Amino acid sequence: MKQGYKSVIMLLLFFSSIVGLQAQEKTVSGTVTDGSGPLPGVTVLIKGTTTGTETDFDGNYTIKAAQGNILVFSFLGMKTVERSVGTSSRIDLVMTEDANVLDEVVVVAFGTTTKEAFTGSATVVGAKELALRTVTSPIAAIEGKATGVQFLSASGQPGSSPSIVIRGVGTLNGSSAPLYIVDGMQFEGSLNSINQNDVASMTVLKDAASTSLYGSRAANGVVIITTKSGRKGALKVNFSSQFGVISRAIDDYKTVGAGEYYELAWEAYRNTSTIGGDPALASASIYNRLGYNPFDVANDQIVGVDGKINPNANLISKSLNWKDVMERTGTRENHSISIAGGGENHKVFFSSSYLKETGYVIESDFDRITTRLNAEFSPKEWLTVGGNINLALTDRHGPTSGGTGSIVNPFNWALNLAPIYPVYINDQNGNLVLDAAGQPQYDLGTGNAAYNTQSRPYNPGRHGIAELILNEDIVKHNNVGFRNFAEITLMDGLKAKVAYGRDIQERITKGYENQVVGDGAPTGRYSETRYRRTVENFNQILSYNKSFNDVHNVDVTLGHESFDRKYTQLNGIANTQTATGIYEFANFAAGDNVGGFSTDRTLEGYFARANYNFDSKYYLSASFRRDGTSVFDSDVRWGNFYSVGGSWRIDQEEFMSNVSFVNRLKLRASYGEVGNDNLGNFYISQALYTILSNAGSPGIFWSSTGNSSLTWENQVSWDVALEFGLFNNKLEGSVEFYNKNSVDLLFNQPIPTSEGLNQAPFNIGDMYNRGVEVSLTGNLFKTKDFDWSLTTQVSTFKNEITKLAAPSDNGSKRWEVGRSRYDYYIYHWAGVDPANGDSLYYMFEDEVVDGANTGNRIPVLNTDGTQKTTNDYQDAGEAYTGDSSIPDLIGSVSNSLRYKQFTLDFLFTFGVGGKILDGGYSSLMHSGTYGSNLHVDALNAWRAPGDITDVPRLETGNPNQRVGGSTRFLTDASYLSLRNVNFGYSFDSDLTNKLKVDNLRLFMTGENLFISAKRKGINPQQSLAGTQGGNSFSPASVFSFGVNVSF
Amino acid sequence: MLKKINLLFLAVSLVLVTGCSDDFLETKPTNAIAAADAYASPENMFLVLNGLHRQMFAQSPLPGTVSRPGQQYFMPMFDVYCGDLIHSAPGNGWMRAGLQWLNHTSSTSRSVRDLWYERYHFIATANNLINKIAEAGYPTTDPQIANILGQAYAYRAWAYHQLVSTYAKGYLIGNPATDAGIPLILTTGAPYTSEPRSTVQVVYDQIEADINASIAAFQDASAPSDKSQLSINAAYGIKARISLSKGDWAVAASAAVSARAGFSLLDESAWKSGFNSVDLSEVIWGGKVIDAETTYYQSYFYFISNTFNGSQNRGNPKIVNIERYNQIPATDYRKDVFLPLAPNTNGSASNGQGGSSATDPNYSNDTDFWNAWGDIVSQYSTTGHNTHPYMHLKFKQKNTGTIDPDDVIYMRSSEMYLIEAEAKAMLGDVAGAQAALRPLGEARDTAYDVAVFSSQSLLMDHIKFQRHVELYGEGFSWHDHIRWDVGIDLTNSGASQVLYQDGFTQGKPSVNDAWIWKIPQEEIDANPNISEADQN
Repeated sequence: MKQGYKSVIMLLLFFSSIVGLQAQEKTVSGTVTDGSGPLPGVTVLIKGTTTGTETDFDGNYTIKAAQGNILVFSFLGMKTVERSVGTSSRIDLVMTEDANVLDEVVVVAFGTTTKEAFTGSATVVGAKELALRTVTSPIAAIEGKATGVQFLSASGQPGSSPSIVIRGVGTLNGSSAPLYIVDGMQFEGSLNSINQNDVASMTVLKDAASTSLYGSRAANGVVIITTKSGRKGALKVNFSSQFGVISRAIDDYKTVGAGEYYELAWEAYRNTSTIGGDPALASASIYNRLGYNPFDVANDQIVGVDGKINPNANLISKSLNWKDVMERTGTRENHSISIAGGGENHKVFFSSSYLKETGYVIESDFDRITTRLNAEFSPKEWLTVGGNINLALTDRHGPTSGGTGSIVNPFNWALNLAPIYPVYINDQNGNLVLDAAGQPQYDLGTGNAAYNTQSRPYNPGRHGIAELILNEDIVKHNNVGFRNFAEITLMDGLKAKVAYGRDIQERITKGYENQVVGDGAPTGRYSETRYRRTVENFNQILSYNKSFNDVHNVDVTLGHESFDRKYTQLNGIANTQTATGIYEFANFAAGDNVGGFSTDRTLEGYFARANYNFDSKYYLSASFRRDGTSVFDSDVRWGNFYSVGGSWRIDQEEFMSNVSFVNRLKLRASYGEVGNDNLGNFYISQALYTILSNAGSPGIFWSSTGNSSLTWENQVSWDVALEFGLFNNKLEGSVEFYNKNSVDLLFNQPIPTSEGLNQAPFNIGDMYNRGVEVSLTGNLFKTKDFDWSLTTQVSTFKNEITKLAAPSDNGSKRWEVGRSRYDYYIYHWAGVDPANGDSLYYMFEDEVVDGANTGNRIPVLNTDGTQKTTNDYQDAGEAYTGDSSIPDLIGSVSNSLRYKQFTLDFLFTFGVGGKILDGGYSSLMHSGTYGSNLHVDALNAWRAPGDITDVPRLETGNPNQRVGGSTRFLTDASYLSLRNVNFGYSFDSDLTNKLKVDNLRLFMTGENLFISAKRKGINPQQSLAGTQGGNSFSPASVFSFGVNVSF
Repeated sequence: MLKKINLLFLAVSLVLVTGCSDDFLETKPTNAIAAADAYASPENMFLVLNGLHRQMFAQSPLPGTVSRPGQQYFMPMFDVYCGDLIHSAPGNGWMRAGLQWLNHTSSTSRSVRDLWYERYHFIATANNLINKIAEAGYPTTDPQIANILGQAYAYRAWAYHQLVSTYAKGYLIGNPATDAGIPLILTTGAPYTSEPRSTVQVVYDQIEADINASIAAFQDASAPSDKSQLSINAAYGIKARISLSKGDWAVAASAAVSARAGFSLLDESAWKSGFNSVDLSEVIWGGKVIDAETTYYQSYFYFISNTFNGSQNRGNPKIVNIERYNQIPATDYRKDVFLPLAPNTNGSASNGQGGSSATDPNYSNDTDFWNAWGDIVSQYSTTGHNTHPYMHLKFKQKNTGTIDPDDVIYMRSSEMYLIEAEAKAMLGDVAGAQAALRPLGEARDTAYDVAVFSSQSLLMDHIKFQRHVELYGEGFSWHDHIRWDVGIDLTNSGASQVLYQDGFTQGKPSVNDAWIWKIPQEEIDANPNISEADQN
């Protein structure tokens, strides 16, 4: 070791002496600016040597160089400039920004690297791309910019964040969310607590080579978010402000009008066996089935015996459209300021922002205040100390009572309530009945003979809008965090860094249910949940970075990390309110019930990474991590994870020097293993009895089977890619293939409920995800006045289960070897029997070979070889449909145009293939549930023998006519969406100089402007499983106007 | 150089030494205890029993269940599904599909799945208690241990009896020796492969062995601390039910007598108090529901009572079968809890007579109509509730018109008089049956004369009537139908065919296998010993 060092140093001395002999040295000095002011910290290097210096605080440098030497000026984010030393001893320089260079720095696990040196697979979304978007959660800006990443749309609730899946879901029961690392530490808070203007870059790490340093947490990929830091130089202030409007992004399903509804309900009633098809009886009493008569004709005169609405009937009821009352134009405003600066030995960044959104649905809003301070100090040459503190305070209201499963889910009401029931009480003449204060009164559907209403068949006594308005849902969130570090340079290239950080999220959720209508009536009910989550991260890292002989570049990292997540929750509920409008327990007199618990999850890891490159041509990288987790039993809790990766920069080879059209060509590949311990329960391996009291005396019950041999699920993956830049980098891109094998899957195996519980965790099953990812960028024009670049990205997905102990039904899917985890296993609809309008289903049976059930489902055949059908879906049985909810491919097209000071950017995203099981549509295609709304397609129902239609006979109460989990409701999931448009104008220097600002830019942006899908109402990005109920807070589109000033 | 290398060593050791202490990775939940500790002492085993007692009425805390609140749901369910406790309107949908016979006939319905799951959970826990006591070698004569064993065996017998009489053909109407029963599991744990379906007879044999073991254990046991704890009386009551269902008449009769010892019959005011308290003298076994353990809109009274303040109750008054009501003599005070002339204020009442005096044949003008309504709702503080002819007020909360919790009664002594009477009637012991009926009949009806029921068939008709009236809403109807082999015909009951659909008429259980509940699909999918071919 000692000997080795000596020889290296001798060698270096030798080389430098040779250089020294070659020419006469002189002193060169100058000033480097960036056009607006001096640029400190610019590296000035004599090409081919390690001799160099940096510009000082005023941008000045002095270096000893020989005539003929070439000085290389480099600075992060600026184009590198080379100047040869001539006779003059002064070289001044104006450096210009280089967008491409920014991209080339890749923040990776516990460090940074460059795009050239990186052997893994990662996508970086930088501040420039973020600036085009108006997103509350910065993660949304990744969509369309990273291959292999699937997005599930954020809901329309202000403050909602989309969720992402990287390279397919590689687990059956475990979490599929990626690991989020913010400024070097795992982040468990809400992503909407990060101000997008604070983000310097987001790196999506996709393959094992890039993620394995996070070992056991990396199976779902890693997103590293790095916030902005200060910069050496004069203070720079950036201010931006946006104002926008918010509306519904996805049109709702097309539903029938009041008259059509009455006709269809009449038909469904007439067709019931109970009245024996008697049209006169149906006409006489269809009103009694529906309870409301919104027309100006008698109750028994609404629909004629011909099934047609009475021609004299006029619709007179008011407020029948619930969406009109529920929806509004939302608003969004966002203001933020940041100040960055620094001196010789320090840099500081400060920012603050305020965001306020009101959703397009009443009672929904979100506001957020953020403040961040990042600072770094180098009191000694060998010591750097710094860190950041940040806080984000959010406050949200929303129509969240009970969630989508609740019977007062307002979206359900607005969609599924028949269009004959008013929001407000109407009198018999269709006038709103006002209360003493002159206000309309909610029609609770309990019936009132005076106004000719009966009990509403759809949730009588409940009211989706009244309860939305009268109830209160408040979520207040405090996010506080800091990260501190100290880095010591022990010797040239050897650094030791200790970092400690803590994030604290405190949340108060207040839920009030009013005393007038709903579950809180008649006394009022109040619940409150408070939690506090503390995540501590402590790591110690040793890194060594050295070049030998200018061709052997070595970089080694050793580290230890510990992670401790503590969560504690307190929840209470009480009823019987005293005063209105006070949402505190003191205001509720009875029924107090308090609960709470704490959880603790810890993890510890040791890791090492070594990167080596030879002459910037051949790169090798290897990493290893050993992790222990509290989730598993002590005998099996330690796991080893590793990766190896390599790349070959073909363009650096001699033989490529003549291939002029190739600017960049790199082949890389990696292989590695990462893990996942997240089955959604930190105590999954322990058999437990949960506390459950009986009339106040203590009790416990068996709540989980546990499994002490449960251990990591592993992901063994490999990845190979070709990256290129051709024709003077006019065409850039990459083609990549990956294969992710998930083995020993964490699986909550369904066990027979006759065993007393319904599941037990095992490491059972293997599965792979694989895909091809292509990204192509054409830098079509790059001139003084006009730039145009166009990027297309396409990713494919394939998932297959390769090992599973036994098939397992999972809702509309069935997990089985040879199938994907998203293959539909449902009833097969065979259309409508033209003879009688019955819904028909193809029949299946279990395949039996030699007396043994193979587990396969095979068609039941008629004698003529066709498949048997039945009108009883239970007799038909379920079977695989051959469809999956996984899209064949997803992709994006993004365009960036600049003409003089105008810029126009837009981003389309699309998906091709995959199927949606459209529950929203099926709920509107029932066969005649009184009071429930119908889709316009119901107008095509079968009516007479011989009718050829795909809508069965309407018949109230016949469950066979509409089966939601059948192929009838499988719908192509392909879509095209205009995700983002940004149109901007930057004022020229004539004006900015007069205003004494550096930059002034105005812009308009639109988010989620347009979507085209197979059916109106579908949100193709609602769920990975392809199911949707049509009753969720549909995504919002935002159109805003903004201004950006910096000085 | 040496100094630098020392520094390097220092740094490396810094990284390695900062490794955490051993217990850093040892974490435990705060809302649960380890399974090993659950059976570590008799005290802890009582905790386990308490967990079961709570699950008799708690919204099911089991993973994967849909919050069915134990007996609070299943008791009304068994009366509603066979049209004994009649729904008058679609209401907000609770149990609607069930009374239309769409639930128990579907292997994926929640009722099918949760009844099975919850009962087997009781069995699993009872298995553990029984087996752990044997493993640990605790003295079974210890009063505490005897108490635990008595309760564990009783729960296991009770749960298996509920299962076998619901998911298999009735003992008396089938061929128990060959009819498929249910999986019989006496040891719970990995590898969780369960068992195939045993025959009905084998299951019954186990049930009888268990209930006898329970009664034997209770002889030495400490006294129950409250009525949620199973006692020797409750064990005898369970034995009486079991024996009755299999036609073991003499055993049923004597067990019923033992069960009711010490639980005197209610007087009129107690009978009319609403069946909301386990403190009533007749209550042998019941759950006490305190404020902090309320199940709100998943309570027994939500599903059954006409005074609870829920949308189910406001929009869907529960009514009595009119034919049955008309059988009640005027001198029987139980007749008072049914209101044949309650105005039909419910516009969406399924009989089409709701909404006003124009549609309600009992009223000729709106003033009388609404006054009658006002009288009822003000008496029970139920403003906003619809009323309906023949609505019942058998079940009333302690605080009517609220959502306050009330107790749930699982077993009371009246049932035991009726079991004894039925058993003796079936034995042909007319005098014995009359003697069993007399105390109950005379307590309810001032003009009661048991002598008129002078033959087996007169007695049986009368006992059926008595069970319908006395035990109305208490969850016995479904299995009574099976034992008596009686189908459903709601033609003159007051139920509406529009609402009841397939549940309006059904053939008798001996010839109509639709009475047998489907085995849950989840069980078939996960149990390697049961296949689709084993489905009912």
